[in-house]
Amino acid sequence: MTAVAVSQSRARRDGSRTKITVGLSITGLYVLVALLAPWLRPADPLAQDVANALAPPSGGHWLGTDELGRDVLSRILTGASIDLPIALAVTLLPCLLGTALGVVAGYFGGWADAVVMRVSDLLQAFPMYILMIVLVFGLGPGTSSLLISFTAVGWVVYARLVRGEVARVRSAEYVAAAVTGGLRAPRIIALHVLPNTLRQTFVYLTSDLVFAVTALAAFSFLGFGVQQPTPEWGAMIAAAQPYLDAAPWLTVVPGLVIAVLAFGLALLGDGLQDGTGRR
Amino acid sequence: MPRRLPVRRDRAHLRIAVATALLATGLTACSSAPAENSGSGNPVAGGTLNVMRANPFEGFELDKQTLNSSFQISDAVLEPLIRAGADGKTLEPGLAASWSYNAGNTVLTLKLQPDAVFSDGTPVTAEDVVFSAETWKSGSNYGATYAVIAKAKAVDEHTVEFRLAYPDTALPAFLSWSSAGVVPDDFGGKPAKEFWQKPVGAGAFTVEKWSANGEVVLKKNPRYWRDGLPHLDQVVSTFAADPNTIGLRLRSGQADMADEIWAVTASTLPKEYVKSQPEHLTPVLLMNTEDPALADPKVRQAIGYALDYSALVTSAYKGFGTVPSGALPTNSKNWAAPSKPYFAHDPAKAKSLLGTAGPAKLTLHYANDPSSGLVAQIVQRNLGAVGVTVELQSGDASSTFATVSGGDYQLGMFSYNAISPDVSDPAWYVAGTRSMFTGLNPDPLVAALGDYAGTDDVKAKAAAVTRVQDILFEQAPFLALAHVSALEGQRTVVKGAEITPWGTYYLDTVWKSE
Repeated sequence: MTAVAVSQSRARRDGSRTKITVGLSITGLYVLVALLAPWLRPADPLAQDVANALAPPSGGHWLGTDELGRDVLSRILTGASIDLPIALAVTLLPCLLGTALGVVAGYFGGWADAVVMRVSDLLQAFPMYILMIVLVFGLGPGTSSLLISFTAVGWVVYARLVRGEVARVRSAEYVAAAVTGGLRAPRIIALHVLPNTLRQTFVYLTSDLVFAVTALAAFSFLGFGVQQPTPEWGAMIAAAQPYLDAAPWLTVVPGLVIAVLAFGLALLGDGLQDGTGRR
Repeated sequence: MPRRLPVRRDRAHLRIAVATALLATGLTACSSAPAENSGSGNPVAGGTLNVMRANPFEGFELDKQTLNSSFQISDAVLEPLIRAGADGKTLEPGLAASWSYNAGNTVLTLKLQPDAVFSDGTPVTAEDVVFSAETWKSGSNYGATYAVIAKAKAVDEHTVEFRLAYPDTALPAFLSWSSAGVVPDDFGGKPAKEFWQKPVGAGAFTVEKWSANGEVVLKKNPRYWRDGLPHLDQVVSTFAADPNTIGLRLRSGQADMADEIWAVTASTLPKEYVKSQPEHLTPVLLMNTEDPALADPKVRQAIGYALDYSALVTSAYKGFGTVPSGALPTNSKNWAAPSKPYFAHDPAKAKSLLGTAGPAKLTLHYANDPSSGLVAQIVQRNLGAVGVTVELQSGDASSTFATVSGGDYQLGMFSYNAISPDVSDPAWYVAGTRSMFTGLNPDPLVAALGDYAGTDDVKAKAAAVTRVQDILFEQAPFLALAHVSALEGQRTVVKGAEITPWGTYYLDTVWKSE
């Protein structure tokens, strides 16, 4: 390795660490806020005070009040404990399902592989957002509908990713040795295949979280997601839309909160990808 | 936005009305002059009026129109016999110059404007009105409303006689609906479908082009029978539902008027842009009386006392309204209050009425529009304070309407109003739609309204209206949440728009000062 190559490699590693550190710090801060929201918020996020509606930011209400006189800061802080768990759930569920199907398809091949791949081909033929909207519309708005639609559509990428990795590992000598040694398939998968395939899945999962956060907000904005009066950030932006002119802070603040979280998660995912040397 | 479904008068009405015929006396007549426009200065002729409508246009087929946006456009082309006065309490001549009843209120005679012609130059005759009446009666939606016209007869070229199946003093009000537009005899020789696509009427404007969710372009009818009207050369109506878009277009001058704007839009516009009418539109909380949790009137009354009506007016309607004074829309002709004070915020009384057997949890369906979302959250908070948990279920306006009108709900939100100057109009609507979708037996309401229609005595009419109000208070199938002003966004250059309490106006008197 030349001196230049060593220097480039070190710079990439340092850049990756910086991204991971900043990304983790931002995400960690949000997680902390989500955990401590009940103690951090200055007021009940659902308490209405219509006489004090649309009040601008002040000493009494640092981020002002909304159209029903509710404290915006309290709603933003509480929103962290609503958006983060849902975003995590709508990312983890398709990940688990996709990983399971990808392992089956990649390890066993044959008809199992054919079925999983044809179904994923079918799903990928549709625009993802449209398919999810159709599913949520059919199921009715709410968190459970979001979980079902994200899982039903989102598993495909994980299944393809894992299938490829498993098929690669499946032909490795240590797996062949385990088969020859008489180990049963589930044991081989658990001990030898999965540990060597999940790194890529994890990296993709962090990127997928960015999509989940923004998609969740978009669904709530469209009225398909979390319902009022729950202080979910996307729903807050939707409710504030008519007041864009009179009370811009109602849309700007939750919008910024979502953007910063997405930025943090994107940095984290980017850093992990750089760290693994794959893109 | 309020949606008007046709009133369905049933046979019970007919029986009761006949029974009260003996009480009916006198003669009702009207021959007042057409309304002068209320704009300041001399009207300026010409120009294009750009109007934004909050709802789609449903087409010109009279029987298919259910929205204010459709009524207004239709009236401009297919002028009805009678017009609604801007005060919402009077009737004015349309194609009928005057009208009168016989002593028993069983024959309504209408004298037509002698100079009225259709836009193709053909004179408007009594035969056209006879054909129009048959067309109204054959409609699957509004036909029942006009079934009272047992026979329409041309007495001479400009006189038509409606022989009624029973005494009905309210019929002239229903003749001011856009569903009673006058069309040429036999649709002028065209197939009905072709006629409705580009109708020929005797209104102030002709149809240039139209689409449901796009532009409706109307051109001045040079043969219009009212001297000097219309002032405008052209009207362009554009569909736009988003409050921000409406506000921006008005301010930028891209739109001259915006019909039926939301209170939140009005609250962000400069005051001179907002025309507010007397409080009339009545948003309601529907309670499904066929649901076991809401079958007991005491539970429904308890909900009535749990709600903070002042908060609703302040927050959801931005002060453009008043707390409710009865279940029926106010500022209507012959409106009368209930004999007891209407519901007011009294959580202690609500808790007492609920006792220990009140429902623990209810679901509220509402449309995700700027006002309904706020109302739903306030209702949820208010009912939570008296121990009833409310789950909110939002949807688009059409699906929410389908849910509540189909009776598949516990709590629902709706809004209703008159579309003619008579309080019996919205009352009939309640009775004719399974007591407005709640499943309440409409017979007592029908009986009271039959008494109302059968008499022209003002006191007797007031007593009948009070009976209706009392039934709707005691049984509480729905709760009036407020009486709200119809709001029009209007640039200051627009003059002469005489807006009714339910938010419509006739386009022929409108003009622009620039």
